[in-house]
Amino acid sequence: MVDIANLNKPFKKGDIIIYALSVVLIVLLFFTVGIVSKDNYSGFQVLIDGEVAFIYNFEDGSSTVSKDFTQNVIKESETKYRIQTDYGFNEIEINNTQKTVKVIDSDCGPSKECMRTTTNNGVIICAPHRLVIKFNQISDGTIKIG
Amino acid sequence: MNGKRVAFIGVMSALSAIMFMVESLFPPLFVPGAKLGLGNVFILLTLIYMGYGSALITLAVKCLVTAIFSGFSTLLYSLPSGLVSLTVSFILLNFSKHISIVAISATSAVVNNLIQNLIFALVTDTFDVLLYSPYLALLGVIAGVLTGLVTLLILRNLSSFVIKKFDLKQNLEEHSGTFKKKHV
Repeated sequence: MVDIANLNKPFKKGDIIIYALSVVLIVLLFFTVGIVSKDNYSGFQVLIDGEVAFIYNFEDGSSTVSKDFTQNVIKESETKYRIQTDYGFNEIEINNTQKTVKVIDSDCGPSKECMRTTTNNGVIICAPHRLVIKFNQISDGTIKIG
Repeated sequence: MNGKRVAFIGVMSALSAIMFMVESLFPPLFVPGAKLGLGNVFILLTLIYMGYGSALITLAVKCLVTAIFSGFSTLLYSLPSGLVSLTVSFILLNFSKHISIVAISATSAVVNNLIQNLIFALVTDTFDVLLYSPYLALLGVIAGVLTGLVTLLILRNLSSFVIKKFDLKQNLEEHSGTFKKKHV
């Protein structure tokens, strides 16, 4: 068991190893997965459980609902879509002039992380509903359409 | 397990769950899902004062209680990551002569963040979300250091009281394998 008297210092020599390893890990992760770019996006995809359910193109405003997901994607207006999964719904709003999309409503928990995520992050995640909105870039960047 | 211990675990679980829910009302820190994780302070305190078993109970109660409010599908992320990061803290605490509680907290936070990210990538089969992993690791270090400092402050100011009130000395010795009973 822990000797509590041992735990009264904010820094010990061994910490250097921990922090050094953390820095190495973070640098390695940056190199392996790349850095999220904030360039303009040409469109986005909505993925439910990893499968493409909905594709939208900002350039010409065209949209495609995948065959298996016609029940899941409900068009409410030109710019508003409701995505229904087995776990709940997310309502998205598309802004074609700014080339952005955001989640405006969801029946998940109180935190509603998805509604606070902006497109600049590259991916919008709704973890409870297993929903991902990912963006494809015009220029050759780190995020590519799958 | 005596009554005082049960009471301690109950209070710590409640504080942890409340902290978690209060935090979820604030916007995330730069990356979706990123939190300071002050609720984990109480799980770490339970681990230090009462041992691994009690900390596991605290973690389970916290996850279940928060799941009532944030949806049971979140258990898929919170339980495994909590379990692994708690185990990592438990292992590192054995080296507490050389590693501070702040560094232990930081490691635990990084592990927690990366595992949640990985679980999400696996269950949704969307590996694009791993784009967040370097940011989550970085924020994990920062959040872990901050919560570690909070834990340190509580340890410094509360330890003598808790040890006395909760007969912890005896518990500590039992856990160290000496099984000495000072009084029957």
